[in-house]
Amino acid sequence: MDGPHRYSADVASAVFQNLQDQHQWASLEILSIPGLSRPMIRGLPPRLLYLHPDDQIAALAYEKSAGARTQHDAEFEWVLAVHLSEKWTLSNFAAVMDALPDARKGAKRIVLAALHNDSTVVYYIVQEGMIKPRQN
Amino acid sequence: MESTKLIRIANISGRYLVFDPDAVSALRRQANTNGTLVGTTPQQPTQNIFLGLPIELRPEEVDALIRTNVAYVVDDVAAHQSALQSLDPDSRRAYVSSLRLRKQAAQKVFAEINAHKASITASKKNKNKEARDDSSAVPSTDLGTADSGALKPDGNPSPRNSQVTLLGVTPTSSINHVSPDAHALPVEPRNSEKGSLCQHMLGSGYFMTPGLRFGSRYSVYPGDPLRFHAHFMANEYGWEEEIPILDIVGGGRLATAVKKAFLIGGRKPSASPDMVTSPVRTFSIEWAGM
Repeated sequence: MDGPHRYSADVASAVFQNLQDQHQWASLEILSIPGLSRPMIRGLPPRLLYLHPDDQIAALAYEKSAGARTQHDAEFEWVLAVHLSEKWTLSNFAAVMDALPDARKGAKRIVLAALHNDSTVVYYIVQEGMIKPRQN
Repeated sequence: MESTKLIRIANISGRYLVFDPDAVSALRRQANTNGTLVGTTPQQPTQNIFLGLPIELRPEEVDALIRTNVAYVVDDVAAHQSALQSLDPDSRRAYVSSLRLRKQAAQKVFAEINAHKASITASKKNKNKEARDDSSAVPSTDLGTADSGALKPDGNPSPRNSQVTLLGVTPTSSINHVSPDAHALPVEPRNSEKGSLCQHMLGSGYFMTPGLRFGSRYSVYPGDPLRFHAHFMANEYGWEEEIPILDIVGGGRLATAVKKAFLIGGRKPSASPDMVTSPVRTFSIEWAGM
């Protein structure tokens, strides 16, 4: 039976479409990671999706002193597509984090995409460890 | 942490309480545990905006404090009963005479206050009399004297504050009457993964307050809650406990709305008891803003 596999592939493809059409992500691909039963999406958002609060403060300080805006290039993100009705465990999340390659800098992170039946997708940033929140 | 002075936690009907103000401040300064103030007045307990000592600690906090050898737990009911029954005549007499001394001190203070009030009223009356003799054109002063006379800012320092301790016949803590080590409960840290997130956060210097206000188990502060805003709303889960995605969406969204991150975490149980415990894994969740 490829039932469960088809299911997660369908969820991933719905999220893939949403990222491509609604959020203008580029270079999108669906990848299967060794050791993971679910496919992962990788893609480039139109602008940097996450900036650590300390880097945010440093960027603001730089802008104030130099009078120029700091340029933050967008980074590739890993997206985990799940359906809203699913239940996950800490061990599942840990397995996903462990299967992904190390981050360029800072903590490992994924974008958790939760798909609902009405095709709404909500996106959450999940990071490994206790990472202090951004000061929106 | 001072190695000698362990903090005494009283276990009373399943709750963990700390009564001694010094112990409370030591917990806060040295073990980043602030607890929750739960003490109130014995009568009309709801007619009281602020709660005071004792503080109540969560079972997992107590567990962490025992593991790190900061505190010990005593069966306080048994300790009190045995202290009451085993009181030798000498200490009994000393205790009774100390109560009598306090009573006398209180009576003396009351007498002084009354005498003071009486002398003020008398001098006011005299003044009024003189005023009336001088001229009869001050009709309003007489009305005010009777009830507000004692409150007039007439240069006398308010006597209340200094006598608070003198008048306290009922002590707030039985520390002087119960031997601190009596009926200490055996140290047996729970051999489960439950409470591991709390332990992990206490160990890394975070403070916690109850998180119900934000729909979670803990509000987690990077320092003393009086100085910092909370960084996380945290929930502990078992390693294989199912977490509905809707809970992550709800928790993540609420946390982001109040400038926090939603934290989930727990520890993987070790395969055999003698193996090294695996580290606590935590995940911080924020709304991605898209």
